[in-house]
Amino acid sequence: MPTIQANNLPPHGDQETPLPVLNRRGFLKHGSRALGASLATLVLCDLADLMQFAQAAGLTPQSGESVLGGYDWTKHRYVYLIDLRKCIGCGACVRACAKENNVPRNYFRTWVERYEVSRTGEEVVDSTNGGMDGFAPHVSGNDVTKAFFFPKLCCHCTYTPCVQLCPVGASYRTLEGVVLVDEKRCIGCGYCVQACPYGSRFIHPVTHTASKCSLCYHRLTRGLTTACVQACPVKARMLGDTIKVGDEVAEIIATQSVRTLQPELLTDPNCFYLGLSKEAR
Amino acid sequence: MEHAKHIIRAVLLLVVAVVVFVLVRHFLYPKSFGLHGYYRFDSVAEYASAAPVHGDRGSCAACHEEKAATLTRGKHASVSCEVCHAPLSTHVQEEARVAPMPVDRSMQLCATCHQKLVARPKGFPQVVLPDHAVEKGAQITNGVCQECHNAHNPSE
Repeated sequence: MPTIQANNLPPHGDQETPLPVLNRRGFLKHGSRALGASLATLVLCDLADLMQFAQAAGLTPQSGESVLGGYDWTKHRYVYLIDLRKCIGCGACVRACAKENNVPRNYFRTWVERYEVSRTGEEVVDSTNGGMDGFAPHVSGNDVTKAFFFPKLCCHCTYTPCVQLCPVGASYRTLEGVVLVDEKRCIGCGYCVQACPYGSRFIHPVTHTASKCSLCYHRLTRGLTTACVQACPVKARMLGDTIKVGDEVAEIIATQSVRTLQPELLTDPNCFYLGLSKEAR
Repeated sequence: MEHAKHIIRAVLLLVVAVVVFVLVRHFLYPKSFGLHGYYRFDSVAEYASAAPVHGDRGSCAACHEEKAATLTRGKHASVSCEVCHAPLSTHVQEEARVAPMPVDRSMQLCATCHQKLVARPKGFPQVVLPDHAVEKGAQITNGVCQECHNAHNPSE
């Protein structure tokens, strides 16, 4: 028997040369052990992660402070207010937004429309270059009885059609109520662009991913207000925080007749308007 | 024990299924996905890490106290410096001056607020441009409005 075994061994694998030889069997044996061990570690680590996720889902939301550099997102709940009776249509907000967020030309994260309505109900709506360069005197030809500027941006809806249908989990809503797009995950399918009833999303011409108002999230986390609110010379745009005690905007929303755009869609927008006329859509 | 064979097989299958699921998940899901919802939480931090381009309303006053005081006394008190100048980051970065601050003195910029338009609120000061400048006998040049009006305090 021993002779048969010895014959089966490769010539250099005999007892006198104890060099470790990795034949096919040995390779498979040790290799599969090593692979199994590393995979098992990986699986265990992932399982631990999953348990943590499951726990986090059932508990109150974590502050996320460590990731956001001292900013606690559980302590904010943003609301936006636009007073249409104050807006002068200067377009400073549009210019500020474009510079702050590097918005490509001819695309807008916020824009201003102009409505001119005649007594007979005829409407002329324009928004040349999104109102970025202001508005030229307009000769609409009919006797204008009612006219106003109408700034628009993402309504940061509570029930977001755009987030709901994102097939890759790129669109999401943060705890403070800011709707954002994860550029690294977005595949640019454009479903969200079509789903948004307010037309506030677009496909970025360079990155080919969905882009939209981020409510200047990088400014909010530093305690600054949004670029558009800061640029507004007549305080027609205001940013509020309903968690903050004695917040001016929260007070207005709580006590005055504010309206949202297309409330019938049940998106529950967090962008409120004062002095919204029936023509404004 | 012999009769428990089928149970052991089922349990083994389950274990294999869990292992496969976890492995597939590990390679397909990005890190931090699902931590706070059906999205990658790191994306929030990426948004937060972007550097602001515009400053604070008070940031200009840190160096230009006098100009800021003139501005707050007048009717342009509610106008942010960056509306006529440029975003703070073109001038100052990390508390150091990087470039001179540009200013837009064009009549077109003044017109974005003060051109007479029917859609503007009635009480807001508006003139028909450039007729207003011509009426006052001014040449239409860059900075024509500043010949009569101090942009930092128009009533001065």
